Amino acid sequence: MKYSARLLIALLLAATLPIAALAFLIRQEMTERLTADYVRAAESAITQTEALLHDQHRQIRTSLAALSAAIPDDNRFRRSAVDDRRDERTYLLDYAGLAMRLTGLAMLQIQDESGRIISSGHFRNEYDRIDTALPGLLRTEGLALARVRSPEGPFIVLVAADTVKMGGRRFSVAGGMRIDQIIPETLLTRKELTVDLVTDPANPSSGGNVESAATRISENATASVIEEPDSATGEIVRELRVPLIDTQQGTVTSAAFRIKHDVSGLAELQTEVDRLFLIVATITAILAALIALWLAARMSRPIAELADKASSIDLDRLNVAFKTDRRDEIGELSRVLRRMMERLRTSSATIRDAERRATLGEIARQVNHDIKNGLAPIRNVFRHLSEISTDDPDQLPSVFRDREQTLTSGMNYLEDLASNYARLSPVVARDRTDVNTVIRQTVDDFVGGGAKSLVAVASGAAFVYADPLSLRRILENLIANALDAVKANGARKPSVVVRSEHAASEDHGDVIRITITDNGPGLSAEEISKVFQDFYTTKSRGTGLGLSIVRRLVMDMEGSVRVESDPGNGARFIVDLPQMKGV
Amino acid sequence: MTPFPAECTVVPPPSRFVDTINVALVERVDPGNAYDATNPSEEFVFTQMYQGLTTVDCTGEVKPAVAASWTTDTTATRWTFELDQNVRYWDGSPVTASDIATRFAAAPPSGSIDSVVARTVGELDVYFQLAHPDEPPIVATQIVAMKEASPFPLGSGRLEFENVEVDGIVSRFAHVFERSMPHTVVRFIEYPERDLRDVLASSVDLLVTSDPLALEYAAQQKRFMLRALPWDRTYVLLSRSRFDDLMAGRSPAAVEDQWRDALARDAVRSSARASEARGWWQNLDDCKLPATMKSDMASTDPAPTRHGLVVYDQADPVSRDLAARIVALAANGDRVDGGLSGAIPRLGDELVLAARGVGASELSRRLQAGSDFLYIIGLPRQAIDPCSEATTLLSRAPWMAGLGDAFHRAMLPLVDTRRHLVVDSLRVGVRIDGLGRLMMIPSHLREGSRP
Repeated sequence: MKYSARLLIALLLAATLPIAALAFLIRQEMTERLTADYVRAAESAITQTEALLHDQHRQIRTSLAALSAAIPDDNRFRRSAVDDRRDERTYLLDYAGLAMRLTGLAMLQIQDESGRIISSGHFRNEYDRIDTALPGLLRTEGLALARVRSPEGPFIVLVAADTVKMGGRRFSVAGGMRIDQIIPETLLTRKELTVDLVTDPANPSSGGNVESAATRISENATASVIEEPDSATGEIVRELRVPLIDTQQGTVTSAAFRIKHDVSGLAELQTEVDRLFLIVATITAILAALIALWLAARMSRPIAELADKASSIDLDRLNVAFKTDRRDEIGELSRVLRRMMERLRTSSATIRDAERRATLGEIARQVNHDIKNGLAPIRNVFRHLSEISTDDPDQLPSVFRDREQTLTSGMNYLEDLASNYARLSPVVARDRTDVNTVIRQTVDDFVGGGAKSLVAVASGAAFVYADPLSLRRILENLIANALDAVKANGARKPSVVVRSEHAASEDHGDVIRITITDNGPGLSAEEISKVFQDFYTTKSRGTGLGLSIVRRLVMDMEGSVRVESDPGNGARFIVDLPQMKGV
Repeated sequence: MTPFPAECTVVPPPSRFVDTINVALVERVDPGNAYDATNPSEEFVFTQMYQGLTTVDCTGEVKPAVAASWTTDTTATRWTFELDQNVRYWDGSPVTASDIATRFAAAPPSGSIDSVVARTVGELDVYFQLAHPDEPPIVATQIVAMKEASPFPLGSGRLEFENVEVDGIVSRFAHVFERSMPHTVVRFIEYPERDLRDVLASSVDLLVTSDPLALEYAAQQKRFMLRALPWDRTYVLLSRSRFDDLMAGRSPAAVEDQWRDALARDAVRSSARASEARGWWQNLDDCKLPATMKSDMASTDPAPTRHGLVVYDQADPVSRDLAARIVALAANGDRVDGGLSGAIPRLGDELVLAARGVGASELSRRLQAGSDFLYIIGLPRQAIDPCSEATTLLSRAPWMAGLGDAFHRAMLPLVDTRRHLVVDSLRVGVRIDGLGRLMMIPSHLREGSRP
């Protein structure tokens, strides 16, 4: 895995994991606190309900007590209810309605001992119906709900009862207030709170019969608050159970005020928190990725550059620069590499010296071989002349003339051989050298020697720190090779161009670049790879030392030489020599 | 004008001249309904302002009004009325036969003569061609003389419209022939939705009402005289289940009279009695009622459910009381219902009833559909033309038409009600005609005299 990928992963984890943990903890804390708050609100609503119902119940009882005290004083009521006077019956039938309006009740029912309704305020024409349940069940002082009828249908009231004794008879007075009118709207301080009056709370499968979603609270002294487990919807549910009297069925069941606190607000808040944390985490991840990429770029790019430079190092390239101003690990690495380069140069000199020594041994053997080869025809001529001078002295002049060419040729060979070997051990005297002057002189010599196809192109002053003679030998070798190459290319007009120019080299910085371009047959890739090796030659009479000597001379000048060629289209030898500074 | 019998006088006219009479109206009066009153207040006002061709006194005798006389041919299908040449509109112009024919053509009164034509014979003669023999002299009480004017049409009645004020209508007793005579101004003051006791406490001289509280209050005021008017309204129960049983060939029972007595006595807070056994709905032998009626609503068979509604007009307190009592009794089975469960099929089958008061238009819509369990509606106790009334009723409840002339078997008459006249007897007299209509008699117009 790349260093940048590792850095990216590490930064992402470092940035997002703490945020995720923080989000989880905040979410957890928020949920716990809000849930506790919801529970408190629901339980507060229950508490307020209890108080309000007790208060309302007291009011109902007070109203009924006042009514029960007033009824015996009403002679028209007495005449109808006790004396059974028919002419006052309408008064009796309307009595409860009037009394109900006066007391502010929503339900009022007066019954005789048999349970017969003699006057009803909420259902005037329900007179004469027998209803024993209500007065009988309300003898206790506990609060209760009652389902009573009106012409339009049943409704539920908070109910209480009282009794009236008159003329030796006993009448019960039951009154109540509608549940949905008892609780003010302000009781439920939050819109998330809802109250349902459930008339069948014991039936969990049905969830009870919800009478009214808008109904508001009530309780009695015998009622109990039940903390039901939260429903499947996650709502906070609290119940307050009270007895419910059904006057039509004559039964007592249970009803419950079910207070629910909607938790959708919490869910929305959780979603919002999740969303915000997701946004923050995303932004953090993006920033982390950008930082990782920047760091990776800042750290891995110099390493890559160092790697590239290091990979270009070989014995022929030991001038790679590892310059740096950095004080970090990269800078330290650069300095280590630079020191390594210095050691390599030292080692290279040693190796080159060893190589030179090895080469001298080889050369010595070659010289021995070459001299023997050169001396062999001479020896033969002299042996022949010796035999002639012994055997036939008169023929000596003619034989000499015949063999003189052989002698001349053998001595020329030896002379050439001596010249070449002399070049293997040049005397180096480096100084400020004008490249263009050397090129011009060399080219002029060649042109004077008949090389019509040679052209020199120079641009500006070009000074290097070199031995002029070595530079001339470099040029002579390369130009001679080029002229030889174009001679072999008979179909094309021969052309050799020597050019000097200022250039920038990756290895040497500012250099004077000398290029010798010919339009000869060019070199193959294999030839290019061997062309600078000792004793490698493509010529029938070449020694294979020319370009090898060129390479060494260039390297002695801390330069470089290379060849480019497109087989069939000539070759170009490029010599880069460090430009002499301050010129 | 032919004198009315003395027994038709409900309250004799005062002995001294009164310059202003204030009449309280409990409903709004719209002049646009002058030809066909839509509520008792309109009927009262228009009766004072406009005259029919004939009138009928409280004994049932048909008497001339705009028409001086009438004749018929041997088939009793062509009746010719000769107009009284002395009858004048308020502006003094004569009432012509052309006015009657034009008015009749524009808006014929509902009734059995709606299939005939009216033509003028001469200046003072108009005839009506009937589709079948009838007694148009009684029906002709509805053929009113009036001429277009604004806001009230010109009439020939005793009371001449004068102007409209913010709180009511000002009129005066007309003296067409002697306009210089002193006249009594009558102010009709509208008190819709007001406590009538407050109305009586003001300077009101005449009020017609059935409000028991107002009547009780008025009875305690010395200046008022209370007179019970004839029973003019019958409340009936229309039962869809009873109709279905009848259509299926079964005969549901009738309710007991004793129960209806108790209903009228205790349940209804207005002046009521058990409905009399016979009514105009049982006198339809020659009507040839259609077996089906067109309906604006798609009639739907009510789906059997455990819940049923007793639908009534929420503005009618008698209907409300009756509906409440029936709902109360329905829960008690046969203990106190006086045979109600036998008369109304399915009522005892654990049916849960509830009363539902609705507006007039909603009641009309529901009655047309016939999908509710019970309806309580009020019908006129007397009908000038029973066939016309039956047709009107069947058009309101077209699902009953399947029983033909016997449609009344699907309805149960419950109670009759009546209104009471509350009048300051020192300021205005009142007479009643054979159709139950009240006519005010001012002090200077003694019975039998002419202006």
